Amino acid sequence: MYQKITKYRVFLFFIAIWTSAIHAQKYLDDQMLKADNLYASGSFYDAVTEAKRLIYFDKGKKYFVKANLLIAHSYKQGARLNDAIRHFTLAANQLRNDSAWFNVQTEIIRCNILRQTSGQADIILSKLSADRRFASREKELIYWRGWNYMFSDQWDRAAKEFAKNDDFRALRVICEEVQNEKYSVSFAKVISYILPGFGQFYTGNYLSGFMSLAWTGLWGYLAYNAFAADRAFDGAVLTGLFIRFHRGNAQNAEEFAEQKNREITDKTLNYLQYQYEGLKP
Amino acid sequence: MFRDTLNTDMEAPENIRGFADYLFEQKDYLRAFTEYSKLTGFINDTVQFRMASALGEMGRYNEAGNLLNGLIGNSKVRTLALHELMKNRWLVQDFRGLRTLCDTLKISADAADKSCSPLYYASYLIDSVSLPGTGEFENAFPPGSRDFMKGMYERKIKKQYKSPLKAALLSAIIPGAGKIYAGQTSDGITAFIVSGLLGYLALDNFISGHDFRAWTFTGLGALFYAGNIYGSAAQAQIFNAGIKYNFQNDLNIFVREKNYFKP
Repeated sequence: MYQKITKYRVFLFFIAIWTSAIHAQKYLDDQMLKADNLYASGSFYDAVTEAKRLIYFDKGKKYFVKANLLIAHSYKQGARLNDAIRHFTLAANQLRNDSAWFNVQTEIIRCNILRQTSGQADIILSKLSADRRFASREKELIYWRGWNYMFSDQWDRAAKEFAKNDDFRALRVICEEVQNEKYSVSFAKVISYILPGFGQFYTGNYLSGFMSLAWTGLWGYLAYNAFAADRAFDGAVLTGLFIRFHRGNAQNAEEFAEQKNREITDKTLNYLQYQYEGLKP
Repeated sequence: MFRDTLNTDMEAPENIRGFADYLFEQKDYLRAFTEYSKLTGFINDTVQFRMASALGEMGRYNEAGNLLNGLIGNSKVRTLALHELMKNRWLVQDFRGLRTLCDTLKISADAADKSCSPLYYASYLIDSVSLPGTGEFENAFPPGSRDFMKGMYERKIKKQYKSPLKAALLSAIIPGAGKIYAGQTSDGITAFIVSGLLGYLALDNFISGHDFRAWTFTGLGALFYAGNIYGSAAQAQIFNAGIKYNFQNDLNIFVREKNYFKP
């Protein structure tokens, strides 16, 4: 009789423990669902709070990876890219599945592209390319390498990268168009040294080009006149003015070319952000 | 697991407190403050101090000060709170307030309270009041810091600032002299040569009867002369701003390294 009661109590004890375990598991599940719902509704700050709460209470680290990924995505939505990368890295360090780990690495690459740390993105891309486990995913690496080049203003290299796969033809065309539209800064500078004002004409700044031509021409003419009239000192001073204006004209042409190029790349990046339908960083 | 199974109410005060402490340690101060704020009815001195610290880290010094003022009476974190208050006053550059607070501490019998002296005397270096005597100043710092603070004291006294008015007047008398005075020697020499050259050209052309050229050079010379005077005054102001910035920066770095904000 006593043994029966003892067995019964032991049985009840284990039932209680099992029920509590199920309940404990459920509250973590509920917390993860809460964080997911907050993210889905666009409440990224609260999503991070609830995901961090989950990580704190989840002593068994069952949701460690998923919660850190949610935090990382939330930070990325808020443009807090340093924090996003930190949490992606925390998640990646716990992953044993190659495919999942690769996916997180591409997220880190995308964050590096967005914050324009292209060197860092390049390092990760190179490591993944060299890793034979991911030979079948080279296409994705080509894609993100191309985007990395675009964001670091290397449109010709981006075009060559996208050319490696026909699926990226649209992006290749965009990069080639940008490269063709861009002005040569060195040409603008050199042509202005040879023919003052022509660098500005090349970039479409006609008034500035005319002014540069006029000023440089004026000082040059006055200097020539002064030397011709044996006024060597006046000639020297006017030559100095000619040189100063001539140099300024070349600098001006260079700045105009750079400004035009910035406008071209900004327009393209704007198009890619709002109208391009493919996957973006 | 057993502990977890029993305590799954995340909104229980002890759990909120634990999570808030976790966020604080992670330097997520805004979230930590929000969690601590949920502990209505359970906010003790330590929690209140942490809330104030979190606000301080976020730059919300007035709010932090309000919380800290409630802790400088008879609380177990009194000394910590007073030091945190002094830190906030340092950061908002209320040095008079900082010294008043330290005077409050100094009359206390608690030896730990008297540890505000280094910060007290360091504040004189940035404030615009008269400095205390050298001996009194140096003795406020521990031996390892005295040489550095003595150097800072001397930098403050020597007043390496340049007068913008003096720079402008010097350049008015001798073009470029004001710029040399303000530390821009090459600019000063250039201003002198160009002003002189334009003046000479103007004079020479007037004497030769070339009035148009003479007036052109006179106009250019006058513009350049005026620009040289203005530039000299501006350069002196830039020089002074650089001196002040470097001085304050050196002091702030030193104060943080030596933990003068902590008791």
